[in-house]
Order: sequence, then structure tokens, then C-alpha cells
Amino acid sequence: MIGRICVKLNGRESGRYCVIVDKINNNAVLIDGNVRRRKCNLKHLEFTNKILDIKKGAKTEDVLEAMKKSKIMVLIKKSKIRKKNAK
Amino acid sequence: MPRPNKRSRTFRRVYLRTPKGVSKLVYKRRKPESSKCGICHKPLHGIPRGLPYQLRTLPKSSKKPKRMFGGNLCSSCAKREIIKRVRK
Repeated sequence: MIGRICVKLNGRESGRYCVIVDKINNNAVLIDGNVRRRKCNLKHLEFTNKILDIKKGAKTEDVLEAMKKSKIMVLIKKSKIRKKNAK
Repeated sequence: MPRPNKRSRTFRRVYLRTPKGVSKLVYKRRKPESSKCGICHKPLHGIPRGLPYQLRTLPKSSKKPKRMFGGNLCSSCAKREIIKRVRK
């Protein structure tokens, strides 16, 4: 389950690729990637066949690196925001 | 009789009360039809219905939902469309 690449279906992040990082309960998981790191209902996700090898509860930077390696497009806009926050 | 172009129902008729206290007939433009979903033709939520000059004053974010296919497809049709593309 952890590391599976999904697509968000609902909300303003719909159509974006994300990765499951952790399991919260039977209905919800923690996701990260091209979306904000957040809790997400499983009904709002569409699963793909690909699985990344990441640890449980991995950091966003590790997730994005793993996504780049598997040739999934990473949104540029988000990295800019992260740089600002780091400063 | 009103002017010939005001006799058809392209303009809606509104009664206004003037400062003098007299009610007066005023001709106004009708609102455009509400925007519809491209697939199921249901009226879309989250899109204001008004004349162009009324919409111009609104902020960009309140004119259509900030979703994939927002403003073109309804939420359920958009969801179906995304699933179709992912499964390809």
C-alpha cells in the first residue's frame, strides 16, 4: 500500500499525481507528491499500477526524488514555494 | 406606445420607484443562460449568472471552481473523465 502512486479525483488538486506515504485508518491515508501533504479519503483517489519504494512516513523531499527517478513529472511551482519557506 | 425596439420581449421590464414617489417602467437587459456541463448538460454550480458588466467586478476565483475542468464539466463528470484518462 505504501508508495503506491495515485491520482486525486476531488477538489482543486484533482488530476494530480500523489504517493501514499502512511495509513491513517481504514478509510484515509496520508498522501504527498504533487499535492500538499495531507490526509485523504480513499474514495477520492484513483490507484495506478506503479509503486515507489519509499519508507513509511517519508519526507516530502524523499518522495519528490523518488517520483523524479520513476519519471513522473514533478510540478515546478511547488518547489519554488518550498525554497521560500526554507529561507 | 414605447419605442419599436422596446416592444419585443428581449428587454425585461422593471418597475422602479423614483425619488418623486412615482413608479416608472424601466427596460433592462435579460440575464444570460446559466452555463451547463459539457457532458450531462446540467447547470453548473459555483458559476455566477449575470451580465458581463456584473461579472467584471467579481474576483477571478469566484467566477469558476478551481478544479480540473472547472467551469466546463460538473464535478461528477470531471471525476469520471479523470478516471478514464488514468486507466488508459
